[in-house]
Parts: sequence; structure tokens; C-alpha cells
Amino acid sequence: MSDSVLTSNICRIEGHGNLKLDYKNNKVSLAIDEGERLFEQLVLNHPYEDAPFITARICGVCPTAHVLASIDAIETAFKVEVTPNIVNLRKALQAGQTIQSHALHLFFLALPDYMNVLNAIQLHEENPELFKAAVALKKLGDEVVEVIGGRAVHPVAPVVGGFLSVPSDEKLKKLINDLESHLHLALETVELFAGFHYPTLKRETEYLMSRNRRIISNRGLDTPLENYAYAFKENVRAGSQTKYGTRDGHGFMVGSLARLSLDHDSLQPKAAYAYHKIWNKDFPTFNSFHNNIAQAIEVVNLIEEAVLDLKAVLVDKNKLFRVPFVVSAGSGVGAVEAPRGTLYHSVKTDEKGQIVLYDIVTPTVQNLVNLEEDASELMKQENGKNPEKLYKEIEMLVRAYDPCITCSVH
Amino acid sequence: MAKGKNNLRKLKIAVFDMTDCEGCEVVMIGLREKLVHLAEQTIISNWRLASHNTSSGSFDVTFIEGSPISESDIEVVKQARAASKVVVALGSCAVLGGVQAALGVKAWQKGLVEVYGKSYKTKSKPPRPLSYYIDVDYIIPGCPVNADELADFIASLLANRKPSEIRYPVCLECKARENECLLLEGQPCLGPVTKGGCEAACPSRGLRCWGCFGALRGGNPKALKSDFEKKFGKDRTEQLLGTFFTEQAEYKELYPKEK
Repeated sequence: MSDSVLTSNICRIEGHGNLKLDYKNNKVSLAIDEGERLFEQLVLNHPYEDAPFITARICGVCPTAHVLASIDAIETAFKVEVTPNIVNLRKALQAGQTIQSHALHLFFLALPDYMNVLNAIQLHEENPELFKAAVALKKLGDEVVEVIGGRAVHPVAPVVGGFLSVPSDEKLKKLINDLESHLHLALETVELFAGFHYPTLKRETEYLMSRNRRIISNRGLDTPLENYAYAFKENVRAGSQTKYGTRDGHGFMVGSLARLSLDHDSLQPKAAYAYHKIWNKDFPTFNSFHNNIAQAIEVVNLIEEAVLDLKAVLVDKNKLFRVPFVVSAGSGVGAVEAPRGTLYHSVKTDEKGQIVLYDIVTPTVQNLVNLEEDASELMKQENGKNPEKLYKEIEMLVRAYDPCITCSVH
Repeated sequence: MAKGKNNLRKLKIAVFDMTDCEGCEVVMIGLREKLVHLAEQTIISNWRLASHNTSSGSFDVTFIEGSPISESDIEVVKQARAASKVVVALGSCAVLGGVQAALGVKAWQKGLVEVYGKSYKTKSKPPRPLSYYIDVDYIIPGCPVNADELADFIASLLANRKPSEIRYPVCLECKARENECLLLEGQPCLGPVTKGGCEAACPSRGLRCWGCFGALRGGNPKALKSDFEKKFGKDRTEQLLGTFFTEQAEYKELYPKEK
């Protein structure tokens, strides 16, 4: 290793990655160090119903997103029409998933960067009130997924066609109460993260998200989900087990900051208040550190949306949570706005419903090149100033993206 | 030497993760207040997902999550073994090799080309359980592990009590919850041959048991196999039993030919 290149392992992210800083050329790269598990191969020749269960195991932080994306792909292939109740319950379940993941990231992985503590346990010693709030929000997300999905990690109830079992009305009512009573904590979290000092960074980029089965961007992309493989490319890099997504050779960004940059007009009232009054800046700011704030605002929004979804489930007299369908040869693309961005599952089945082709594109694969481009920009801005401070800022930037390397190598 | 409450020596605990989904660590973080309580009585080090604090040196108890696949995984588990008095395999990836082990060596090698292209060179080895590379003192199986079982295990360690191993099948816990039997409904439920401890998490919500706690010692998978083959065919039976059992002696006895 020459003096101008530094390689270092990053902690407090999901999965194993090494940062490589090339001081001479102002270039940062993120090398991945994970084993290849080959989930797309694992489900081949299995009946369709195995795919959601098996692919959930890609990630213990966002398994629900994988389950729901897999189900969406298969239901699209079989042309299954689900009831509004199923849709609403799934939306609430996915909200719980994102609250779990955002709370874990914001308080346990990111926050130590901004409060000068080493970890959440030290936070407990120095700021017990804040630790209590962190634990309460994480617990709320866990509770939503546990009650609707049957378990906090790797849910068991959602299947192709609906749900194997559904919580009682009493449990749903308690869930609504608990969601509503945590709204103030979510708002305080926005206040906390809006008050932190974030490093200066401005680099224009393209933000992508999925909406109503289309992929959209701030630069005019608007194409059906089925075209995902044309919308961006996944590139293999020698020595890395993950792929790197690019659009026209450049990075792009998905996740909370992308969603809030594209979709802040549809925020629920309290989340809109958090966005306009507490944060009080317009997205896109093109500063990726602000992904932390976007996550905090999303937690507020998801709590409000989940309450509406669950109330709709409660008043619906036609309580059908499992629909019949015909297994057939077909192909389908499914997508979920997972905590870190758009997650795609794509399936092809034969006439017996056996899987003959499976493809998964995770949010982190889509974010990695943009992350490297941001980090290189930061280096260009600050090079020569203070290598230690620069390194710390780049590590903070990586964490602000909330990368899931576990997911990226699947 | 660090002292805890009551002047007892603090246990030094390490947590390492290999290739996996990190779901068992998420369950560990999910212990929340209990974890803080644990932290008061121990020194937790090397937990990369949770903290900055890393140290080399010796550990009293080391939890290893995930299956060793990458070159550095295999290196780290050997180092961790050498530096630890007690090694605990945390979760089914560490205990059984995880769902990824079901692919088998040949399909894994072929799959690399399918996913990454012909010119891709890997430094990894096919997924295996921890015990393939090192001696393991205790196992906490599950995909994911059960939070209560994990908390009990840690409590046992702190009390200097030997953690006990479960010797009954999932069916026992399922019956205790008065669930309808999914096997009798015609579903390929692995409850009778799978080690309990999960509190029948899946069957209680209507999902058949997939065997994630591993084959029960003294179970009769041979009988289940012949029953399944009549109902679901030979290929499907092999898939069903192989999802979590592939690397276990019980499975290799039924299917001696290496995948």
C-alpha cells in the first residue's frame, strides 16, 4: 500500500465493507467483503411459495420488504387480484418494517456520529431519556411487524394471495393506539436530527423511486416497473461480490432522500409539518447527509399512514384476507419501497408454478456508485485540510446512506 | 481486571458476524433493556454492527453469527476460536450453514458463473456451518434465534450455569398452543423432526415448519421422508428436508451422495 492510499473497515453498517481513499486522485471506492450466498439460484426449481420465505433470509434488517417484493412479483406473474384489506394490511406491515429499520439506523448506527458517543449503550449512560425514545420507536416498529407479520424478524403470516392469519380487531385497535401515542416521539426525532450539524456537500444527482408500478426520477424518467433492467445497469467489478448500479454510466440515488425529493407533496399532515416547519428546507438539497433527516420525517409519515391503513381494515365489513388464484406459467416484476430504496424482485414460472428464473436488485446496489461519487466530491472539497477529519466525514457519509451490504450481496 | 457489581469479574463477550442476514444480531439488539442490563455485567467488544469499539486479545465468550464463506470469514472464525474460551454459534447460519448451504457445492460453483459471469473469480468457499472449520461449544439455533432462548442463554452464562439443550420437537410446543396440526392437513410440516425452542412461531400463524432449528437429535426423519415421498414426490421431499438440514448428519444419512 502506498502512503497516498488508505483502506479501512467500516463499523456500524449492515454487512462488511472497506473504504479505500486515494488521496492523490481524490477518489473513494467502497470494496465489499461478503460471501456469495446466491439467493437467485437457491429458489430455482422450487415451487413459487418457497420464494418469499427463502428470499426473506437475504436480510435480517429488511426481511419484510423482501417477502412483500417476492409476493408482488409472483402475484403479478399469476395475475392475482387481492382485496383492499390485503393491500392495506400489507402497507401497514411495510410501514412497520421501515420504522424498525429507520429507528435502528438513526439511533443505533448514525446518531453516535453526531452526539460524540461510541454506541447506543454509552448513549444510555449519558442521555437516558434519548435512549428511552430510541428504544420506544424501535419497539413500535417491531410491534407492528410482530402483530401483523407474526414475528419481528422474518415474518411468517404474509403469503402469495394474502395472509395465513390476521390479528384480531382488539390487537389492531391496540396497534392503532400505540402508533398514535408514539407520534410525538417521531416528531421529536425530526427535531433532534434537524438540529445536528451536517458537513457541507452539494452534488446534483438523479433520484429514483417507484410509484404506482412505475419508476420515476427528478430528471424525467417515467417507465413501467417491468423496464427496470433498462432504466439502470448492474455492473460486475473485479474483486467485489456486489454489483454496482449505474444510469448512463453515472450513479443515482434511491431511498428516503430520493422519495422525499420526489414525493414530499403527498406527506400526511404531521409529516408535512415536520418537513415544512421543523426541517424547513426544500428537498432536494443534494446533500446526501440529509438522508438521516429524510428518514426521520418518513417515520412520522409512516406512523400516520399506518394508522389510516389499519383504520380502513377495521371498518371494512368484507374481511377477506386470502384470495384464491390460479397457478400458471408467467413472469412478473414486483417492487417495494424498502427502507433503503426501491427493491425489485422478478420471477418467471412454468405452468406448475415452479420457478425457472429469479432476479433481485437491492437498493444498496443502486446507491453504491452515487455514494462513491459523493465521497470523492467530499474529498475534493476538503483534501489537504485534515485527513483524520476527512476520513471521519466520509465514514459518516457512508452511514448516512444506511447501506445494507448484506442485501447488496445476495 | 475489570470488576462488576458484587465485585465479580466482568465477562468479556465478543460478537462476530460472518456472511448472513444479520437477523440474529437484530434479535440481540431487540433485547433492548435486557441488553443494557447485560452490558452492566459484561464487557462487550468487537460488535461491529453496534459499536466502534474493537479489541483483539482474549474473550471469555464469543458469539459467532453467520456462515463462513468469504476468505476473511474463514480467517476470522479461526482467530476468534483461538482467542476465546467459549464459542457460541448464534443462529442457523452458524449452526447449520443457513438456507444458503442448501444449494450444495456443485450448484454453488455453477451459480457463481450464472450470477457474475464467466470471468468472475471468487475467493470464497461454499457455505458451511461453523463446525466445519472450528470447534463449537454451544449452539443457539433458529432463523432467526428466539429472543427468550437467547436471553436465557445469556442469563445462564452470567450465573455460571451450563445452558441446557432442547431435546423435544417443535410439535410439543405446537400442541401446547392447541394449534391445528398442519401435517394432518396435508402440509409438508417438518415439526416432528425439528428441534423445538421456537415456541412454534410459524405453525402458530399457519405456516408449516421449515426446520430452521435443525434436525432433532433422536428424531425419525427417515419415516417422515418416506411419508413425504408418497405425498409430495422424491424431488420435493429432498428440497423440503434440505432447506435447513443439508449439512447435518441426519440429512447425509438419508441422502449420502454429496450435492
